[in-house]
Amino acid sequence: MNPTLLQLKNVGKRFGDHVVLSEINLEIAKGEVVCVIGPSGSGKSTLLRCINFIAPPEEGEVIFEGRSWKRFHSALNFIANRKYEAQLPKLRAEIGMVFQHFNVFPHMSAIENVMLGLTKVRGKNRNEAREIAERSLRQVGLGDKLDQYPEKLSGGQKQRVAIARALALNPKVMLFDEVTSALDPELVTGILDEMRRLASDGMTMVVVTHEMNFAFQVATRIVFMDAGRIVTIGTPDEIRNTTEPRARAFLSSILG
Amino acid sequence: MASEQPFFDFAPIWQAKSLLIEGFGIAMFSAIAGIFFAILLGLVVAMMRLSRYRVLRAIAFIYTQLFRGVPLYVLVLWIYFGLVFAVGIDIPRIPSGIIALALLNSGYLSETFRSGILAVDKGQREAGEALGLRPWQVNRFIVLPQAGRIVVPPTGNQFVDAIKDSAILSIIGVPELMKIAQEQANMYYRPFEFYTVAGLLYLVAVILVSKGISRLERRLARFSREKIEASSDADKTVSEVGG
Repeated sequence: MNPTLLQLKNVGKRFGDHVVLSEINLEIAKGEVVCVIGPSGSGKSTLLRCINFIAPPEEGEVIFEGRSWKRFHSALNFIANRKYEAQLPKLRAEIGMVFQHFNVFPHMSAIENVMLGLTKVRGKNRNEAREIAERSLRQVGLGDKLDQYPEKLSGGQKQRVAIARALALNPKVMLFDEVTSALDPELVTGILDEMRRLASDGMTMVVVTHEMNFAFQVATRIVFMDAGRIVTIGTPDEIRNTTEPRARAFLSSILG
Repeated sequence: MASEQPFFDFAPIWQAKSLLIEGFGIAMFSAIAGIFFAILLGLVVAMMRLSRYRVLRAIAFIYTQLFRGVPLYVLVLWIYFGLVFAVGIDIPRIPSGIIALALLNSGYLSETFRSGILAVDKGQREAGEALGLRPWQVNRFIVLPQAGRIVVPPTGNQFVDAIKDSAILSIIGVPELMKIAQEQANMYYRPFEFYTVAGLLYLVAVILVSKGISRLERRLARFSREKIEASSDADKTVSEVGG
């Protein structure tokens, strides 16, 4: 087994009184592809968003490459919290994320979308950034769309821009948040193929998805969540043959 | 023999034309400078209102209420006459007028900017944060450019208002269009003619500015048509607006 890259330790998250995540423990090794499945509202996306603190967890900690990230509770820790927040961009720069609704920047062309992180986060000059961005966009098959604005692109192409934008920063792990859910059916396969390619290149990935075929083919492990908790974790074979009743019910409702 | 007075006589207008043009220039200058500073102040106040710090939010809220709630007439007099007596700050006429216009309009614009910033899809901020951009970079490169497009039309309206409002600066003797028109109307005893011309000059300025704004709006609209439908997934939840 490869060394652990990322670990969630007792992570909990609430919005007001509504507890969305509790006691999440998960260890992810380098090169693993972990797929997170479960009914909608089970906290899958929130779990993903806790990893890079887009939705900061109130409880527990995230350990990334041996460094612990967590926020303090008491108001007395005001300064400590500011300090930790000021450090967050460093963590996020190592973690790529792709969203359900693409979230490409509409006021920038495809290549500018990819260049932004390279120039502002990685400190590359414009020429270097352009070169890397171009290569990154070619890899996802958008070599002929470099100067197109998002409004001129299809959903699948926008999602490719988003993937290129994340990959250009050379992240150590990629988070995919239901990235095919907002796509027209005929475009889904293309994006899934892109993710397969990444997985076979050895990228560490955490994938929240409703695409069961993809999950069972590509994942090294599958996490089944329900009601804000991890119900069971296992290899695709283990999950397919699970005896855990909720996971069974979920899988039979989906796979028939 | 009393000489025959024509009912309408626009000849004095022609004689006073350089004064009127100068007054028009000062009116436009006051409005432009006023809006310029109002945009800067309004942006700062809008960011304060969206801050996570209660104190900043409270200060910004009071600021907005104050300058939206006080008539420009009072504000102008208060700055020009009031401040000298209260704290001995003697600000000349034109700067006083510009400050008054800037404060009043910044109150309105801060609200406009705030709603413009909130109108930018949350996913945009998240995508920026996920890249590892710092909060100010997310604002500078992602949120504000998009909010800017949204607020161009209402900011243009505010500019139009400022042009018309600049007439009020005549009460502290700023030699702008209205003040000149008043003086000349009294001198020639031709109020109808002078006020008509003054009114037309404001009207022309307002029409030209409106045209310019809608042209700008069309140019910016080209890349901002994309609307991302709101997320329907229950997993997606609000994250705080930084700043």
